[in-house]
This record gives sequence, C-alpha cells and structure tokens, in this order.
Amino acid sequence: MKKNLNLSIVMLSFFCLSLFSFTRSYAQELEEVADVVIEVGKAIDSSCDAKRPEGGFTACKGGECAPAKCISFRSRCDNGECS
Amino acid sequence: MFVIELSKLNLFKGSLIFQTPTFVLICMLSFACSEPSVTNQKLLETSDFSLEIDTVLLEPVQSSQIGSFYLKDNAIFYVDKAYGLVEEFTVEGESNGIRKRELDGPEELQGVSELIPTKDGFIIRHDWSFYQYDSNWEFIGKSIFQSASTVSYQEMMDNPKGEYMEMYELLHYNPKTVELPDGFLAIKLDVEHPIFNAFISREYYRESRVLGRVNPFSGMMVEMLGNRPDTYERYKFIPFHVMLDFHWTKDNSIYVTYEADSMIYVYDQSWKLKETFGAAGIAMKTDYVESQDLDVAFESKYFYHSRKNEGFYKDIFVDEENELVFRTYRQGSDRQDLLDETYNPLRMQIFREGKLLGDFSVPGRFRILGKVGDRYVADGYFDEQNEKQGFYLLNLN
Repeated sequence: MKKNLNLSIVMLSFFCLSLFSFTRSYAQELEEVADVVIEVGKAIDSSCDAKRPEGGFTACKGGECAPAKCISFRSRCDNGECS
Repeated sequence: MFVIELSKLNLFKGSLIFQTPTFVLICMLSFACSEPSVTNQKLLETSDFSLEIDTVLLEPVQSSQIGSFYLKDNAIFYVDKAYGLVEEFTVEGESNGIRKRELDGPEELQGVSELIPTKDGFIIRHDWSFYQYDSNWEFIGKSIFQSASTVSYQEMMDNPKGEYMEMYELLHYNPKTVELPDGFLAIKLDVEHPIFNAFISREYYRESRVLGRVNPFSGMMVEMLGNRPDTYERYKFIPFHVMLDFHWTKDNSIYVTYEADSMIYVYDQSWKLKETFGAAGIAMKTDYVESQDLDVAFESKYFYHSRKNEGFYKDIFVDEENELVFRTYRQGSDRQDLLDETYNPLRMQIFREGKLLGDFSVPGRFRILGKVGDRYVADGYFDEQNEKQGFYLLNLN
C-alpha cells in the first residue's frame, strides 16, 4: 500500500512538472509571437496607404515628437511627449 | 514689459514727492535693461590674422531661450520655438518688433520649425508645412511637403531602393533649408523605411539620397540629390552620425561636410564631385558605437551618447567673396553629465584654397549664418538659467 502511494506521488510530481514545463514553453512561444506582432505593428501603420497624401504621422525621434512618413518604423507620438 | 512697470508703480502708491523720483528711476532702469550689451573675446591670433568674437545680448519681447537666430540681408531674426515668435533685430541688437507669431493671421501659422529667408520675403517651415510671406510679412500661401508616388506601395515596402522618392521625409535633427538661385528650396532628407534605414541596412548608406529640391509653392519634391561618401563603408551602422551639412553657393557649387568624414566635398548641381579637401579635427573621439538592430532607434540613451560624447563634423559656411570655408566639429567628451549636444566641445576650422588656416574653440552652439559688412553673424548664445540670449559677431582681421 505504502509502495503504491509513493509511486502515485512520484507520478503526480512528474505530471505536474511536465505541465509546468509545457505551460512555460507555451507562454514563451506566445511572448515571442507577441513580440513579432509588436515589431510588425511598429514597422507598418495599418492605415499608412490612406495617409500617404498627407505625409504621415508624429513619431518620437531623438527624444522629440516629429512628423514621420507613414512607412516609418518608429512608434507613434500622439500625446506630444517622448521619453 | 509695460504691464510689469504698472504693477511696480502700484506698490508705491503714496505721495507725489515719492512717486515722481521712483517713476523716473524705474524708467531709467527699464531703459538700461532693454539696451543690448556686447561682450568681446579673442579666439585666435596668428602672424597672418586674428579672430575676435562679440556676443550681442538681446532683450526680446518674449523669450523662452529655446530658439535660433536667422539672417536676411542686414536683419537678424530671433525665432522662439516655444512661444512661436519671430522678432527682428538690427545687427547692433536693437529690436524692430515682432514680425510673426504662432496662430497669427488667416493662414493660422501652427508653429515655427525654421525660418527660410528668400529673395522676395520669407518662408516659415513648420514641420512639413511651408508658409510663404512677402518682404512685409504679408501671407502669400501655404504648401505641404510631398513627393509623387513612383512605384506601387507594395514595391516600395518589399523592395526599397534609394531612388524611390516617396520613401523620404524631412530630416528633423539640425535642419537647414535654403532657397536656391532658381527659387526652389534645398532641404535635408531622411528615410526610415522598416528595411531601408540607417540602423540595419547597408543599402541605406550606399544608395539613400541626402538633399531634396522642393518647389515651395506646391511643396512637391522635384528632385533628390547626393549620397554618402565611401568613408561610410568603414562602419557597419552608425545611425546617429549619418547627418551632413551643406552650403549651396551662388554659382551652384555645393559644399558638403558629413558627420563621420573629415573631408569637405564640393559637388556641382548634378552632384558631380569637383573637389575635396579637409583636415581631421583635434582630439576627436571617433571610436563610434555601432548599432546592430532596430531596437537602438527606440533607445534615447544610445542617441544621446552619440550626440554628447562622440566627436563628429557639423556645420559648414562658405564666404564666397573671400574664398574661405568655415567648418565646425564636436570633439566628444567623457563627461556623462552633459545636458545636450551643445555641451559637447565645439571647434571651428577655417580653410582657404583647401588649406587649413586655423582650428580654434568656439561656443557650443556656434553656427555661422552669413555676413553683414566684414563681420560674420552666428547663432547663438542661450542661457536658460539666467534668461539671456544673443547672437555672435565674428571679426576676422
């Protein structure tokens, strides 16, 4: 009986460890995907084409908000401030 | 100014005997304060010539000390960027009054990024907008910088090339726009395409154009000029030293200095190289930190290090009459507490017929704008803490 209980505990621990490892790798993968999405978001403004005649949008350049071409890889600077 | 004086007077409400001398005293003090003052400093003395610099301190109507000076003929204009004001001064430092202010007039000027003197008046550039005025500051028209689409959007995104005009934007840092003899504007360009940029693309260094020729009335860029010299092959990516400065002469020679190159290049208007000359600056820190990826673009730390601590060549001015070329450079600094680029030590070189005549230290924001008589007018002295500002007059004897 005691032997069976020990075996169950070992198996349960193994299962928990596997689950944790799976969750961790899945979370890492999600994080990587999210990073890629953010990078693409940074790179191409979805409404870029429509904005081409107007020139673009305001982006952070060297600590200042400045106009940028709609294809710019820079992030938006809508609130008028850059870090 | 007048409002302040009235409030001062209210403090001394009392007998007429007391009020009268107080009023006279305040008036005298006010006049004394508004007088421009000049300080003089000797920069260099050799057996051939001497250089002196006068600092003409001004009392603008309103000033945040965040601005620049511009020169048109004999008039000097102080542009306060925070207040959006343009005030005219004589070369002696006397104010001729405010000429233009933000949100002024039917054109609703949105701000002032740069003042561009022209043959017929002025152009104010605010971001990518050009506001045109005649010589009496009457509004003529407005245009917005644009370039025609030469290829499909997909082609531009997937397969960028240096000649694709629609990729380019106006360079934001250290801008300079000048009117050319034919009335077009020459303006510095930049490109920040996701895969064609100074951070990750070698093609950017080899192919990207550096100057645009713009029709001020339509805002349309009609031509792009130039590219960077082979010196940029020595580095992989130095995104914060890709800038340049230029001087376009009356006979259409273009003198160019690039930040990472000690040589000065002289081109004709089709960018055919006519001449090079130059000399390396003294004790410059040019061991540039090179970027490896696009993340650098989003870190201001890297940008500030490049501008405050590294050495690079900066501005150029050509005195065509006397065949003199003035070029400034920053030496770089180990100090980590510098507020901005203007504290990175600045020196100036003078060349005649390609030979270096002198190399001397100048104030941190020194930039020659032009000449009035025998003196060179330069931008500018700004002291935010003590609320002082002025322009420089360089005397070469």
